[in-house]
Amino acid sequence: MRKKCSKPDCPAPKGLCIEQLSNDFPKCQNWLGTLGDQSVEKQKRVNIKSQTLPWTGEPFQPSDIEIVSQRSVPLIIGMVGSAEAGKTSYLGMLYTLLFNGFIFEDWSFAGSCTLSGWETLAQYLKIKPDGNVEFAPTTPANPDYYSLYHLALKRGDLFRDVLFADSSGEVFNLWAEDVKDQNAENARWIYEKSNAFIFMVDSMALIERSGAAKNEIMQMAEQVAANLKGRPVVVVWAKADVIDKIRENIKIALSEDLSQVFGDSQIFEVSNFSKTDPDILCHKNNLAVTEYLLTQLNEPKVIKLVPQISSVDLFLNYRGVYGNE
Amino acid sequence: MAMNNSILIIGYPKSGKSTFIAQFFTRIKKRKSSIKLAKIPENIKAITDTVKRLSMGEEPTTTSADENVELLLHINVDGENADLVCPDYGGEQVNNITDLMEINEHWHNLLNSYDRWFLFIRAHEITPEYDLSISSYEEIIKEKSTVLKVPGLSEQSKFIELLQSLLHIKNKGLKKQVVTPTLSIILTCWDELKNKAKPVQVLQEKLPMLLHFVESIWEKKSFEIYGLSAQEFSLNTPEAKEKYQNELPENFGYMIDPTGKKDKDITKIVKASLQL
Repeated sequence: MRKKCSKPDCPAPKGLCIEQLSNDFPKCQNWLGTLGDQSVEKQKRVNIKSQTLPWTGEPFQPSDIEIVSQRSVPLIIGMVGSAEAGKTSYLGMLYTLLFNGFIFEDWSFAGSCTLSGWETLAQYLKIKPDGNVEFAPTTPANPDYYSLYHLALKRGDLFRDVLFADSSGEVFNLWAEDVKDQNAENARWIYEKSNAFIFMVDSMALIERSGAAKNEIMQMAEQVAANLKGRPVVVVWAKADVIDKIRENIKIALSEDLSQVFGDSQIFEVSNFSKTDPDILCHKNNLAVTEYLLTQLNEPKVIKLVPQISSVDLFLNYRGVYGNE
Repeated sequence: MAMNNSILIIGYPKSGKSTFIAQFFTRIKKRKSSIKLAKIPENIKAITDTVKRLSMGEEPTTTSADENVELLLHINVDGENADLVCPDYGGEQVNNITDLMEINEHWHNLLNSYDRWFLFIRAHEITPEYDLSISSYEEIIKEKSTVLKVPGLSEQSKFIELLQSLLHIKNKGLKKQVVTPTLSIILTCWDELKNKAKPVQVLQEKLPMLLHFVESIWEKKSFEIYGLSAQEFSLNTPEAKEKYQNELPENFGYMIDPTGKKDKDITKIVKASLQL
């Protein structure tokens, strides 16, 4: 049943109402009610036995993963980045593109158990009649806040359930400074469970806060890289329509540092603003980010046995003649 | 298990179900088709009003959304028996499926015993929405929302939610291409559309993600898209009304086959669905 509270971090109806700390959420002023409350009444009167579908359309919580894990082992893609970096908007645009008929090159859309959740994200990219765009509110920095967005995708006979794990950037900043921070439970969960990561670099923050923003990004990147165990990462420069306004030296330094930390990760520049049709940053790259990870995750694994040694000693750094292949 | 010849009509409110069935029924009763009634239906209350209004040259009234009268037609198509059921004229039960994510027992049984589904979509009513991916706006005023708003499902995601819910109830997994049930998507009120392309092109323009979804899920030979104008034109003018009264409703209406060809015999949609 589609019920929702207007407070983004309120877990009702799955959990207790955050205001009243009780199960009495319909009495809470923030409660939006159900779209079809009257229909519910009507149906109860008719007293026909009904079967509830296993999914609700809202974003999954970790406990909902079993809805899809019975048919396939779902792939979890963790969205990582500071607050306002554009993680939620990336997801909104991904859905918007599919909605408007853009498609992945090799993967086809086979449904979603979180359509209502996707639509909630996509509404924030709609242009209102007055020409304004009202971007999504900041994702709640509640350590219990989980939002997993589902896509079922097919490539020929291959069927995959993909879950995008979104959470607040603030929580990721806490985690980047202390992976055991008690207020970063969801960031820890995402880091532990994800099969791959989309690492968002906020171009706007780099323009506004240059060196400070770079430090923040690198702190997080190093933490992500610390325990990757071969999981793929894609580096995404978000809001790349303004990427040229970042100071050149900052951009170069950050690119170098990131490639040192993540090795040969693929890098994409994305934007939510389509300036041309088709637009590479918006139409092509937003889909390409996810498609790249899907391809990586579905390729037979090649195990690299070259140890990662970094030292000033050239002898220790020497990986043999095959080391660079 | 072999596929049966039972057709289930599915559609949201005001999608043109009543007019189609009324016109279909009038035609097969008048033996104006290769399809015949195998048995006189016990109860035709669901369409009585629409048949009557059309014969007077009047626009059918919208079936009240919670009207649950069911219509079951036993028909014979070129010697073969088939059933056609429209369980929910008003469309309210279909609304409930995607609003409440619940399916009642009756629908459950119908979905499991009917192997050919007709999905009615009134394409003209679906209007495009403008978002950042479509238009290049240089001067957009960016604001930050403070509260989370829940918009409810768009038309397109409603259809996808509906189809994936119905397949789930019929116990059809998505890993293999769906062969049974077959799916006939019928784009109704075709006369309202300005773009007279092939039905698949209209669906691509109006609901591209739905088309993409259906193509990913269904076996190519198991779904088809048709256009339909069961009434042929609006009955809002005195001339149109007179035409209907004089020339009789069963002489109006047409369908568009998947190749874009117009055919005056709307009963062919039913016949074609039995070939899927």
